[in-house]
Amino acid sequence: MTDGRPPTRHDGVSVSSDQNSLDREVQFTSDKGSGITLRVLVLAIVGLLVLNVAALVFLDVEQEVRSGQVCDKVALEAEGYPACFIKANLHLPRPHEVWVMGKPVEEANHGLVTFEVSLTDSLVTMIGITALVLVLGTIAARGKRDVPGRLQNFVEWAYESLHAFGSSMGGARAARYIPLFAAFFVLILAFNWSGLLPGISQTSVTRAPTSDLNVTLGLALVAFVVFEVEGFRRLGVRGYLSKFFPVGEFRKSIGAGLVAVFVGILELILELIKPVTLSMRLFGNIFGGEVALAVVTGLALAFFIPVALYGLEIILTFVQALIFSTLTLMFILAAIESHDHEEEHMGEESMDALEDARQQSPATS
Amino acid sequence: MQRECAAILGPARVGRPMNGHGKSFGYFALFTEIGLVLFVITLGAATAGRWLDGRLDTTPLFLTVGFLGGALLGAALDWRLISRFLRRLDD
Repeated sequence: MTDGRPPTRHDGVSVSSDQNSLDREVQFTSDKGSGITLRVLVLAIVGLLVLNVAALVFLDVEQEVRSGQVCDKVALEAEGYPACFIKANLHLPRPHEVWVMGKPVEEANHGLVTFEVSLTDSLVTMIGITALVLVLGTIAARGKRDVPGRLQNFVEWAYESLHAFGSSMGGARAARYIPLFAAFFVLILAFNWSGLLPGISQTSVTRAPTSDLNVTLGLALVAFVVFEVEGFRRLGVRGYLSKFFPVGEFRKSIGAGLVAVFVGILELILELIKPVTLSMRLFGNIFGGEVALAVVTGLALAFFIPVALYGLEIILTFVQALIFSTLTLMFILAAIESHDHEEEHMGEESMDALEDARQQSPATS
Repeated sequence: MQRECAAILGPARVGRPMNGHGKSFGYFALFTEIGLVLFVITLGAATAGRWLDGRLDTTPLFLTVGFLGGALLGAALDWRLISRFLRRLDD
């Protein structure tokens, strides 16, 4: 790589002197590295603009299906420029049914919650993205070699990073749940980023899966089942239920029992609210972002505003995927922690505080 | 590929996992949960109060009670959430 001479900072990528070391320190130069990155970035922006314009021109015919109205010449004259475009590009929170089993529920009978067995646009996209992630994962896992190639290197780096991320949060106890944490993260990230692909949110058969509350609620319920199953499995039925119904505290005293019951009720509400907060947070952020993007794309003929918004959305959706998986991991760790351990911990803290007070009192007196 | 990763993540990140970042992000995730818990509980209790007002024709008695009670309960839940999870993250 360096023709026998020691590596310098102008060589692009330099590997540390110990070639056998697994801990490779890779440095990159500002000259070559940033040149390539800038070219890639400009190409990505131009590609995004072209795809965006193409999607706007060719897929705009489905505007009425998506938003319930279309901004044609008559509507444009009646409502004026911004209002007409904004209304036509607004997405409905309810997903669009691609296929319905049996007789469809009439529009007038659709309520806040409607039971209808159907294949929606978000489900179609979800199945497609999940299949794609599975195929890519299988390809990456199949060609494993001792000297990793580019794909294996990238996958190993990504998994190691997620492993270190989860472990630094939950320690050794978290190790068992890191695959679940990583799976949630990768899948939700793919779902979130799919909505940013030009055209995906402009047809009536595709939509970012996480911009549909049904999907996010489904993901949150899967996570919720994992918390509960792990809690029961690790602590036993009695041990786990004693977190929420600490009737044993009444044996100490009535006062302690009443306080424990109050804390138990708080714990129970906190437990039941977890799927609601997990699903609402993800849905709200992704749906809001998608609506903002659709409206700005429809409005802004100066195309650089959508591109800037795309950049922001890429970061925000990444953060949302990480928040969902991080909270899932934290809630699992909370579920497998016994009530006694918590009490012991609180007892230790109280003893430490007493000890500090005792040490300080002779000094002050 | 490594060069692209390095350009995006900075030189220190490539070939080395993100050690120690999990805990900081855990605090961040916890703070988003605090706001949502307070919001959902207050909204739920206020909605229940509004529904009860509609049934008993007592507007805005139960709406106010629901809103204030929900805010208090939400604050209590937040206190519990913070005390439990901060301790776990600090361990």
